[in-house]
Amino acid sequence: MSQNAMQALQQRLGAGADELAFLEFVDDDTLAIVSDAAGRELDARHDALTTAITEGVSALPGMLGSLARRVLA
Amino acid sequence: MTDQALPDLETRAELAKLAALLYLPEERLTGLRGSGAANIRRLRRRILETAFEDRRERFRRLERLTRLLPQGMLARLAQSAFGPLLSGRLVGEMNAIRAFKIAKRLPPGFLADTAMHVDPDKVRPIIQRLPAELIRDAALILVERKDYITLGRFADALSAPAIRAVVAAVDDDAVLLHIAFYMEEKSQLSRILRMIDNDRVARIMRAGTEQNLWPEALSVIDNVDDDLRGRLANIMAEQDEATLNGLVGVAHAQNLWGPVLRGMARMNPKYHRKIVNLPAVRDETVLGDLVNTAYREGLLEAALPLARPMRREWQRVVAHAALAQGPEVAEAAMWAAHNADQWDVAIDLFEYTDDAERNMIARLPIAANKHVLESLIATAARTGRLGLLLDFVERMETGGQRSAAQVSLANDGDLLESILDAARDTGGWAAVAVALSSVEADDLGQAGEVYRRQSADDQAAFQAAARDRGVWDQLAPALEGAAA
Repeated sequence: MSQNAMQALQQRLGAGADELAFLEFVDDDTLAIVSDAAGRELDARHDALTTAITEGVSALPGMLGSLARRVLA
Repeated sequence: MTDQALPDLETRAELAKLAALLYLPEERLTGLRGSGAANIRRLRRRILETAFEDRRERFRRLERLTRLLPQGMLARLAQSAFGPLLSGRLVGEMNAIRAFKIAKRLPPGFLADTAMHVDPDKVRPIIQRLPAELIRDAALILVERKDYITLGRFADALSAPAIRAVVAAVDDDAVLLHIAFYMEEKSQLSRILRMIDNDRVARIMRAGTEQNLWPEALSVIDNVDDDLRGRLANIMAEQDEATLNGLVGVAHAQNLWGPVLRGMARMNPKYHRKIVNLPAVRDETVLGDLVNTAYREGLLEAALPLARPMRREWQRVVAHAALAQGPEVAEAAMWAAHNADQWDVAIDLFEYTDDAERNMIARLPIAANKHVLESLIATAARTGRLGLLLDFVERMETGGQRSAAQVSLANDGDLLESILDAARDTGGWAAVAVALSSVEADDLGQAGEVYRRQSADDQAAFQAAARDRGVWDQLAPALEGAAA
C-alpha cells in the first residue's frame, strides 16, 4: 500500500526517489492521504485550467481568439 | 500537559501551507510532523511546480502571441477574457518589465485574485516594481479574505515603500504576525522589520502576547538577526508577570522552549531575573522540559547562565529537574558549563543535589577529564566552594580522583594548600587522601612539601582519615619520608 502510494506520488510529481525519500518514514495512512490529495489537487488544477482556457479563448475577439485557440490547443 | 509531538514552528508553518494547498484539515497531516520543515516545503513546492508545468509550453507560445498586442489592450483582455488563472500563468512567462507595465494597469481586486495563481519565484521582480498603493490595496483584499498564506508568499518580495504602505494600512497587528508566520523567505524578516518604525514593531510584538499568538511572535523573534532578536525579545520581556507566565505555559505545552531560549540569550540580561523567577517556571516538569529542549537543540550554553539570577528555591528545582534527565544530559550540561566558562553557576546548582545525583555527576566521563577539572577546581577555589567539590571527588572513579589530585599538585601545590584548608573546614580529609593515593608515588613529592607545611593537628586529622580509608601506608613514604 505504502509502496503504491509512494510510487504514485513520485510518478505524478516527476520526482526522483531521493527527493521524496523522507516519505518512506511516514506512516501508510498519511502517505496515502498526501498522495491522494496531491493527485486530486493536480487534477483539479488541470481541469480548472482547461475550463479557463476554453472560456478565455472564446472570450477573445475574432482573429486573436482563433490564434489563441491554435496556440493553446 | 506538554504536547511533545508538536513540531517546531517552521514545520508547523509548512504543514499549514501544505494543508491549505491540498485542501486538507491540518489534523490529517499529523503523520508529517516529524518530517521536518525543509522536506515538507520541498514536497509542497514540487506539487506547485508540477501544477505550473501543466501546458507550460503552450503558455509560452501564448505569451509570444500577446507581444503583438499593446499593453493597454492586454490589460483589458486579462480582465475581460483571460481571467485570473490564465493571466497568472501568462505573467509567469513574461519579461518582467513588460509584465510590470501591464500589471500596474490592473485593478487591485484582479491582482489579488491572480496572486494565488502565479509562481512567486517568477513574479518577484514584477512585484518589486509595482506602485506601493496598488500593492497595498491588493494586500488589503487578501487580508479581508484572511489569505495570510498567499500574503506570506509575496511579503519578502515587496519594495520598502510597499511594505510601509501595507503595514500602515493594516491596523490589526495580529494580521501582520500571521503573515510573518507564513512568510516564504523568513531570512528577509529582518530587512522588513527594519523598514517599520520601532513603535509599530513593539505594537506588533505586543499583539502576540495580548492575542494569544505566542507561536507567531516567537517565530518572528526566531527568524531575525541577533541584534533585532534582542530588541524584540526585550519588548516581550517588558510584559507583566501574568502575561509572561502565559508564555511559560505556552512554551511548555507547545514545545517552544527553543525559540524562547534563543530569544533570552539575546535579550538584555536585566530581564533574566524577572523571567526565570516567574511562578510558572518553578515546576520540575516545566524545567525538565526546558533542559531537554536545551539539550536537543544545543542550547545548554545559553540556558545555563539563566540559573544564575534564579532564587535559591528555583535553583533547587532546576538542579533536580536537570539531573532527572539522566547522565547523557548531565554530561552535556557539564560540557556546556565548561565551554561557556559557567562553572560558578554549575557549582551553585551542585549545592542542591542529593546523594544519588552527586554519585551520578561524579562518575560522568567528563569528571575524569583533567582540563575540565583544572577549570572546575580553579573556579571552586576562587568562589570558596572546594569543600563541596571534595564531596564529589570522594565519589569519583579512580581515574577522576587521579586527575583531580594531579590538578591539585600543579603550580607548586598552591591548589592543594587551598584544598587542605577546605578539608579542614568541611572534614573532607578522606577525599584528599583517597585522591592522592591514586597518584603514582613518584609524583607525590610536591604533596609531601605541602603536607609538611600543615599544622600537627591537620596532619593528624589527615592521617586518621587516610588510615580509615586504608591508604596511609601507601601515602606515608611520600608525605612523611622526606621529613624523616
